[in-house]
Amino acid sequence: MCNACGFPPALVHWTDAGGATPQERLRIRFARIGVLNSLLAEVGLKAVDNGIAPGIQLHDLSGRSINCPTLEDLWQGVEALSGAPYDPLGALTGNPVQRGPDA
Amino acid sequence: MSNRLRLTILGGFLGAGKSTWLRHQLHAGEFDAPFVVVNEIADIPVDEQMLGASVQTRVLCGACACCSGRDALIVLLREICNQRTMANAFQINDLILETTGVADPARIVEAIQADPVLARHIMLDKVVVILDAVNGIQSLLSEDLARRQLESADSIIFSKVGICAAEPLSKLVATVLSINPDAALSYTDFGVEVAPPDLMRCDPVEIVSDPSAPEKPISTVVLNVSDIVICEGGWATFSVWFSSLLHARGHSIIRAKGVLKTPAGRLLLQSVRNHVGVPEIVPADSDSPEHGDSTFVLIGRDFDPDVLQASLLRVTDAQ
Repeated sequence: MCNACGFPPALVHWTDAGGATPQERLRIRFARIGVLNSLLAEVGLKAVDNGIAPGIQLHDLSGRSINCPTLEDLWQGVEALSGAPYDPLGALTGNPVQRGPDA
Repeated sequence: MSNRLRLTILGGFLGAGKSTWLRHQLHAGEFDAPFVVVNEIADIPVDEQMLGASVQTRVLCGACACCSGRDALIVLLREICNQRTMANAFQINDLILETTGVADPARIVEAIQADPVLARHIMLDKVVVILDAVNGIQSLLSEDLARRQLESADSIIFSKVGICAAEPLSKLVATVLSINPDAALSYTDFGVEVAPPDLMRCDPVEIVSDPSAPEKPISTVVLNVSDIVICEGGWATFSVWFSSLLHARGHSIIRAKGVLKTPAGRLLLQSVRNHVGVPEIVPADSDSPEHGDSTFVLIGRDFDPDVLQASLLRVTDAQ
């Protein structure tokens, strides 16, 4: 159990499989935050990963925040905070995914 | 005793676990002098890399052997039969055809039995169909093809049993028995046969096919990611993009697979619907290093290849 976030230790998530050494994995985490923030700025959100605590912290402009152990959780957090899923095809098709209230 | 080749047709819906099961059977020596034909719907073969170099393999890619690739399959099988009869020929006793996830095995059987040469050289041993214990009901409810695959099976093998709870598995088994009561059933986890689980008494789920509402055709998109996934930043970009795509549009993605060059090595990344398995590292000395390197195949509905590639590039530019 991590004393910073309370998350139990998890199996390696597929998005963390790209680095073989701790140094590579750390560089991937920092590169990922850069990519995420350039995308999440479109919906007024900010992701933070200090490289020490596990997972990613997601913040919105009103001060709400969610701890996200994996990227999978992060996209759920984005949907919870912004009210709609982040659709990487949405801006190109002009028809982003919308979910109904039952989704 | 007949000297004909014994043919096993291995079917099952996209992502059911056909290659995983076959890999274990080959490792365990369940086939006698095997030769494997892998059919892939995408132009870039990925599954053959899972089998490694220990078995004789031919790949038929870019078309499905039950329809558009039927002629190519017949030509390939005739060639194998011809080579087997020549002097100094390699020995083959068991021929295994791993079909695409969108193939109807019954149509392949028809095509082989209708060919006068193959009918003399090949004896159909059995049709094995792999059914994903976790996603099986969803596939049966949404895909008429998944039901047809089960109907033609002599043996139905439930995969991923270890991560399926007793009640949904019991419902799935009851449903399968209502579709094909005669098939032999077995249960596996990572391709390894496990003891039959204790099943509950359940009614089968009613599978209704609605011909008035034709499904959009399943299409394949091959993405070129060779310029992207070669450094830590590239893997970060790809994982951000693909995880967001799965979250937003996972309902349209039936299967995704590819071998990606990353700092950790060549990663075999696979997903079934919106679940991604833990990637495996593929050996660098694989037989076909030029194929499948940093290409990613998406199989699903309602996708425009240009939009997908542009979307990935857009995320790359954001790096």
